[in-house]
Amino acid sequence: MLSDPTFLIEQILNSLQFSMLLFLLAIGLSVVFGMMDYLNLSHGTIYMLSAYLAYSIAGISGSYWLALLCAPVAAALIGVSLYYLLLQRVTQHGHLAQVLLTVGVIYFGTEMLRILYGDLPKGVPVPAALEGVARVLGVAYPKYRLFIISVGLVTMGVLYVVLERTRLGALVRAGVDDRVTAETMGIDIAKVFAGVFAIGAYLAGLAGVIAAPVFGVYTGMDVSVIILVLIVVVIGGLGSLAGAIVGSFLIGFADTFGKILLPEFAMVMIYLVMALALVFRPSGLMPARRFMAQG
Amino acid sequence: MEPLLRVDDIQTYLGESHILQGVSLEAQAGEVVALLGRNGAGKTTTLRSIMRITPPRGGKVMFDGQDLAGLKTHAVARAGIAFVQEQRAIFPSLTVEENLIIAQRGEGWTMERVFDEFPRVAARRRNGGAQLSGGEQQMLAIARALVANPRLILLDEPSEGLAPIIVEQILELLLKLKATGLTMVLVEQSFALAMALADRAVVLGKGRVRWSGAAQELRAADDIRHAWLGV
Ligand SMILES: Nc1ncnc2c1ncn2[C@@H]1O[C@H](COP(=O)(O)OP(=O)(O)O)[C@@H](O)[C@H]1O
Ligand SMILES: [Mg+2]
Repeated sequence: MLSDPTFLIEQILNSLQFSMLLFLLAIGLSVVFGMMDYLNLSHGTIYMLSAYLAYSIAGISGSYWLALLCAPVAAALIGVSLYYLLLQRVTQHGHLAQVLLTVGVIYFGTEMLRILYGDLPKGVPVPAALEGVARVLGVAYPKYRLFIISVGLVTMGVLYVVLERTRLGALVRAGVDDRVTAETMGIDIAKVFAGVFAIGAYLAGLAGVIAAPVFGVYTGMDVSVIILVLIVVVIGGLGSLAGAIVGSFLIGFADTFGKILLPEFAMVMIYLVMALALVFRPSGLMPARRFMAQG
Repeated sequence: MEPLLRVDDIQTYLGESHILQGVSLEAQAGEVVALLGRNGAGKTTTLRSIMRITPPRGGKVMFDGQDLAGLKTHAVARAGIAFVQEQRAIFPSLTVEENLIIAQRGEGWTMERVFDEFPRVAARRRNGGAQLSGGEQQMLAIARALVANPRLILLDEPSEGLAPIIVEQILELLLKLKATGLTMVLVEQSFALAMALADRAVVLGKGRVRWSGAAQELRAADDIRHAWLGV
């Protein structure tokens, strides 16, 4: 199978596309964890909610682009409200309390959406401008999927510049490295964190919208993806952009090619990658460097 | 005259342990006050209490006429207090320049001016914080405190773990800063370094003030030094 170049190129593009969705979800989860030590499993709920919002907005207005513009913003607002009204109450109480609370939010979100939208999966049509195929290295590949890859790459580029090349990015990295020291320098980390949380939720919402036309909109779409996202974060290392990128590519490719090579045991491939990564680099491949700090 | 910093009978707990059991100290503007005591006496906890990293449960901290009670750590810093921590706490993911850029505030000390003052730090400006030697880290930690243009610097064991020649440089630098009128509270294990800088001294033992007075008097107070400092 893999010796057929057309098939191989297709699968590489599929892997890239899936990697981008994983990345959009992983970066928020990872930086929020790195900065506030908060394990927010309901991050996937924001992704799912945004997909449903996109379904409604596109359905009512007939415009995918309006959905792409509005749903992630709404998702970010809901995510931030959720954090400040509910989730932050257990910030100080450790990961177990955070997991319990955010799993509760997952169930709540799933049931609410089921009540509002029913049990049947929904579809969001591909926008007219991105219908059909384009040729990549001579292989016909859906334009919309190339669009997903582009959105992911552009986001990576923008985040790289903002995080690594601006004062704001330095504030975020300082917060991930050592929150207390950043505070002693007059930096209001709670404020920086609010911004980070909003951007993380926005990107999860963005992932939800762009995934909708390809993977459909259904309750449970959050849980199936959040497990892979957690693995991405663990493999890549907490709180780091480079880690989220590398982890997303590894899992995006392992998942896609695992399903081809070992269709019965697709998850085996992923766990194998995770086990290998953690054997050699227990704190992830490219963690934020906070533990190497003081000499 | 009302002192710039007045710590009045603070009580600080770490978990359930009552660590500071009534610590008081004062620093007049322009003064260097040495805070001395054996390992575990509560010196770091006192500085962390002033910064409200571990807020005291009782007592009072006044800075420049303002009660710091209720402030968050970042607000204490913005009120004009800089804290150079024992472990230096240079951000490893930030370059030397970025470590300074995020701290820069107010008029006076700028990044360029500290680079003039600290050529060794300047030579490393594009390096990552994790790549510095201990001495360079300490210099950067002090530089980072300066660019915030504070009125008071809390220094926790600046000479710890450094080679004698580096300690010499740090002492010179701190003397220079003292001459500019900067107020300092200096925690030090090196009695000689503390005596070279301090106008007054406060001796802590087991979370309480055991002695306080002019630094020169402490030289003469053999019994106090033996009992609470071991020198
Ligand atoms: N997290 C903690 N919980 C309980 N006690 C602590 C904790 N951290 C430090 N201590 C104790 O607090 C006391 C004061 O510590 P510290 O202020 O660091 O002393 P110093 O800086 O004078 O060496 C020590 O006896 C230490 O054992
Ligand atoms: Mg100490």
